[in-house]
Amino acid sequence: MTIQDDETLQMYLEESVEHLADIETDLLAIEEAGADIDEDLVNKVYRAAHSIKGGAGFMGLTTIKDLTHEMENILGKIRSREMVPTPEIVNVLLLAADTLKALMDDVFTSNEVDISQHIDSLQTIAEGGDLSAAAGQPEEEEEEAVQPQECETSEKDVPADDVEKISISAAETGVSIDADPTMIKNLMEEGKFVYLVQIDLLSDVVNKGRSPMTFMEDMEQTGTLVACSTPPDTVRSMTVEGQAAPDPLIVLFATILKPEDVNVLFEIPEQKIHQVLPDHTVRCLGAETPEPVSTTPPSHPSENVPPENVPMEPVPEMVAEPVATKTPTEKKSPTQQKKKRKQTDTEASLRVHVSLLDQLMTLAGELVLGRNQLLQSMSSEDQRGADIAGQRIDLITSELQEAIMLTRMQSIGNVFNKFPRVVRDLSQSLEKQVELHLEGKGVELDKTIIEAIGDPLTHLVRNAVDHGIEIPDVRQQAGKNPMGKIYLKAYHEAGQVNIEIADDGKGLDGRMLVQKAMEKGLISEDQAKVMSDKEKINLIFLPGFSTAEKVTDVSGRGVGMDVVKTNLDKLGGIIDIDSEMGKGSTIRIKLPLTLAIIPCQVVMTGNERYAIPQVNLEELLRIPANQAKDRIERVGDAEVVRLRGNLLPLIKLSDVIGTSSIYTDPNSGEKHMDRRKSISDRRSKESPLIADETTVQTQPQDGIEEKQVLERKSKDRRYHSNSALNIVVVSTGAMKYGLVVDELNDSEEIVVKPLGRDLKNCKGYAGATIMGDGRVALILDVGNLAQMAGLTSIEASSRATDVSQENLQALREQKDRQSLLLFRSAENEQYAAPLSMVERIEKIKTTDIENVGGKRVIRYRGGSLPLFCVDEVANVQPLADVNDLLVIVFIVSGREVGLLAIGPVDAVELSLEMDGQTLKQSGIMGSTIINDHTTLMVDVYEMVQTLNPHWFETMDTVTDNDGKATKILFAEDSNFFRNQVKSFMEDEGYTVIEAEDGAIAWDLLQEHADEISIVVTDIEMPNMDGFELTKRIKTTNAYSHLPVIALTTLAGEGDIEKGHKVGINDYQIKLDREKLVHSIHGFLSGK
Amino acid sequence: MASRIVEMATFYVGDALCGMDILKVQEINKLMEMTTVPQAPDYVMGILNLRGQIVTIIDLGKKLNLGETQLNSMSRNIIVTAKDEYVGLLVNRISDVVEAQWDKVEPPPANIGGIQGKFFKGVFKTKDSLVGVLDVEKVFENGN
Repeated sequence: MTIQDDETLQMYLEESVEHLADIETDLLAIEEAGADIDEDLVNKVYRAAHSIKGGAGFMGLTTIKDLTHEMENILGKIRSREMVPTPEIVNVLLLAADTLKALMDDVFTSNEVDISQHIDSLQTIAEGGDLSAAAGQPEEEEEEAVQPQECETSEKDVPADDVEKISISAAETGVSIDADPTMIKNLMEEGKFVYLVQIDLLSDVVNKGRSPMTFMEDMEQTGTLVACSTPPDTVRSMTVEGQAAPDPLIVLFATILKPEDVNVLFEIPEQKIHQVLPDHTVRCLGAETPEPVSTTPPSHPSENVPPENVPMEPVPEMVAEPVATKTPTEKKSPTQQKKKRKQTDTEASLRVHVSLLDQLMTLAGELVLGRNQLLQSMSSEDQRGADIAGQRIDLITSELQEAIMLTRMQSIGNVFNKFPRVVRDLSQSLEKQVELHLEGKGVELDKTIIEAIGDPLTHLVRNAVDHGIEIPDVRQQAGKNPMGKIYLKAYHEAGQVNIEIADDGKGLDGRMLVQKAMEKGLISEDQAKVMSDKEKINLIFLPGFSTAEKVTDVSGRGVGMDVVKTNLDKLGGIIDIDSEMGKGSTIRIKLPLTLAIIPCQVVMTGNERYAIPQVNLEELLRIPANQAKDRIERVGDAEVVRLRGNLLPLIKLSDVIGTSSIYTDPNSGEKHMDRRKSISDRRSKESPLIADETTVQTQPQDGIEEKQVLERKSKDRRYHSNSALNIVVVSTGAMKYGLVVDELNDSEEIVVKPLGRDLKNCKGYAGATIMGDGRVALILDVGNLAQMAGLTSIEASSRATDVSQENLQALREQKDRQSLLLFRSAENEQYAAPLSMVERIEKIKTTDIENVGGKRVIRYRGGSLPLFCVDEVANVQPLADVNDLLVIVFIVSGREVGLLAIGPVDAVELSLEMDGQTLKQSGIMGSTIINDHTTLMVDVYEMVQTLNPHWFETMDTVTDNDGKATKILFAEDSNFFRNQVKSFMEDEGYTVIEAEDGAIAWDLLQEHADEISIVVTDIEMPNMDGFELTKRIKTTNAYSHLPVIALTTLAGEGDIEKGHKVGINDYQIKLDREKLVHSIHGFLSGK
Repeated sequence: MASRIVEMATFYVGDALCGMDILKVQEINKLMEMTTVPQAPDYVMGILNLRGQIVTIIDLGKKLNLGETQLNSMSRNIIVTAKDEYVGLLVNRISDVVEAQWDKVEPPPANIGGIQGKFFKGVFKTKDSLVGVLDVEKVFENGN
């Protein structure tokens, strides 16, 4: 790669990225226009591609050059109307543009990137395009037929004899050629530039490794050959041998390439190219060289200066003007282009207008003056002067703030502009028809916010296309236009920026959402019942909620809207959804203009001030004390206020954050602790809060005051105006509620400061700020406050967070999930046994039990079922003395035994965190906490063994040849199970080598390769799981003979199949001692 | 290790004399008006504005399980930088600044005046007393 120097490269890249950004929007416009090709647009893209290509060639970026070259080919065909820009073609072009962007991002390795795929598809289109143009695109031909002034038609005119020709000549070189003036005129009207070029086929073409043939093709691809001194076909077939220099080829060539770019094509000295101006005079591109060029022998490749380095006069204006004045159809083109160019400029850089800088400077000057004034007034103790200076500084500061803000503002169009492409690509892949309307691109937001909302907005737009808009058939059936519409709108309102994403799709089904949420355990049935429609719709913001019926690559991964919400929360924005079934959904986002300074409402509670961000503020409400009774009601245990016919839940700030509210005595101005517990303070008997009050009363420190308050309560103190209720109505997007505070203060602009680490856990605050008097006030996070107060919808979201965390946890711990049967023996001792070992449960009466031969049995199905109870073996409380008993039937050693127990019995499935030590004793494996009860795990096997030792004498321990105990390699990550199962095996006389995971087991296996006769492994283990371990064992020759028994808690069919595939010989349940031992025995003795 | 001399700011937490590297100390000030933070951990006294920075004030006595620091005219806030933020440590009173030779600092005993040894880097003797060298980072490590 011959990358020249960083600066040039940097310039090239910046320029190219700009070009690419344009290419994308323009391509989309071209696609939209379809067969009705907009010449200007195509030319513009063509030029952009061409400059990228030219620069790339110069920089030695071959990959970029090749790719753009192919793009250019297609664009050339579109331009010459050989091809209609179908969505497929534009798609390929867009993909190529994307790849180009990626290549630019990592330009230094770009030459190693494989782009053959793109090249292939581009070439296929370029070749196949002709076919499809001929066969499948009749409209295109019609198009041509009705537009006689187009270039192809005019080209046809050329051979006609009656055409008057004029001679175009470059005086200083004596180069001249005859051409058809109308054709030149037509071409110029199309926005093309006409060049008179003198080419030395030997030095300019052949010596540069090109053949005349390819040279001519290149030319035809990039433009129109108006006239040629030698017939083109002759040139093509020309073979230029050795030094025999043929006559220079003189060509009149029309192309859209601008004068500064055109030499990329020819790669010849500039002096040999002349631009033909509309009045048919010529201008030499190498105009800086005053001497006649023709005298210079045209054969020095060294003169071939790359176009970028050639100093050139800025000509585009000069060219564009006459063209524009000539044809009315072209009138808008230059302005359009200029507009585009201007836009690109502001996008590409963060330049600040000089006027703005000047303004800042002036303001800074004024600020200094203000300070001087203030200082002077202060030193001379001139109160009035200080006042004036203070006001002045106040004014200047606001202006300064505004001006500085302006420098950070960017238009939201930067974000919006990428959506047409997103929507187009997505709707195509989903086979939907979607139209995107953008509105309010000019709305400006702080740079940081602009950067941060890109992803959430993309997600929402994608969602709208994927979930919102239905497929055309469905839409038609519903009587809608098959073309779905998505509106993306930004506007200012109340000092905030609102963004709306609306679609006219199927809308959200609240009921379905509720059902889904309930299925996933995100909300309870009770919660669902009391939810408003809006709350139901807002369920989609719950973590772990995804409505897509199947996971597509677009959306439906379950991490959707909640991420959007969290991201917006971080920005201090709120999100809200409105939806109507069948009509569509509207998502509204409110964002602050900037993050650093936010307007806030200051309130007071418990002698401290708190700030509530204006984003969340809906309105302020003051309920006079004498109305409080009527307007505030209790619903369930929540207090609500009637506000314009709606019920608004109320939260008392002091209750939520746990301070006491202050009541200012209107007469004396004294402040007292407010003792009213309930906001409306109706001392009805039913109110549970009465009980609270008595407990408060017992608190010694405010005993006296309390009494006073109680006395006063019987009077009508709350009819004083000052005991009116101050309510701040806030909205969190999903819901509105009223926050009851002691006092309402001013609204202020505050600067957000973060809270220290020690306060990170205080959820109720979003930060802190410094007030005018230098004290600190906390900024309230109204969303979290509602959550802390337990308002429904948000409670659900916390629940959802919990559930999704639990699910994660469960996934992680699934390996150790056990189904257990819970039962009791004595009233207050809970036991558990593995459900897999339980055969069945019988209900019996105490009287049915017979005492035979010192043992308790019960007659059962014609036989005697031996009975025992836990306290026979373990040192626990005796079996409860009740009439109705339960018999839990286990099969141990091939015989049924019954364990006497009492209810309630319950089956639970949970991940065991078994404590195998604290409460372990004979017959008890260990303990765990289930449903808040310490639960003892019974070891049925051990019990039966203790009671009936003779049952177990049948099995011989398999020993190896030397008579030593057989070694078992046992891998299991849970301590409890490892010890438990190890002891099963050791009891049988085997030696057990333990491993904590598959990887360790594998190491141990290699260490003890000769000794180990069988491997017992858990499936789910960290580092290396059982499947992987088995796979390794089975694929290693030295070990493949080893039997592998997998232990699971729950053997699913899928697992078993997977296990068999990797070579697991047998599956056993972890705590089913007997079967495991049998299985081990079987494998070992069968060997 | 060469004998390094460290200047220590010493102060009383409860009855225990503690010290910390004076370079860690940003400033020491008298009690200022604090904003209480409802729902904060109990060792957080409140937050205050220190020239535009929000500083969390921590009752060092409570944090070290020595009981609440009594507020009186002697109590001071030691503003330190810990983990890139300002934290104020409320102590009973400030004592001298002493020079300690780092190699004379001995490893901490299990507890000093009832404070867990883990909060200390070591102890060293002055003429008439024993100073526990507080490990500020450790104090903040276990958030709660």
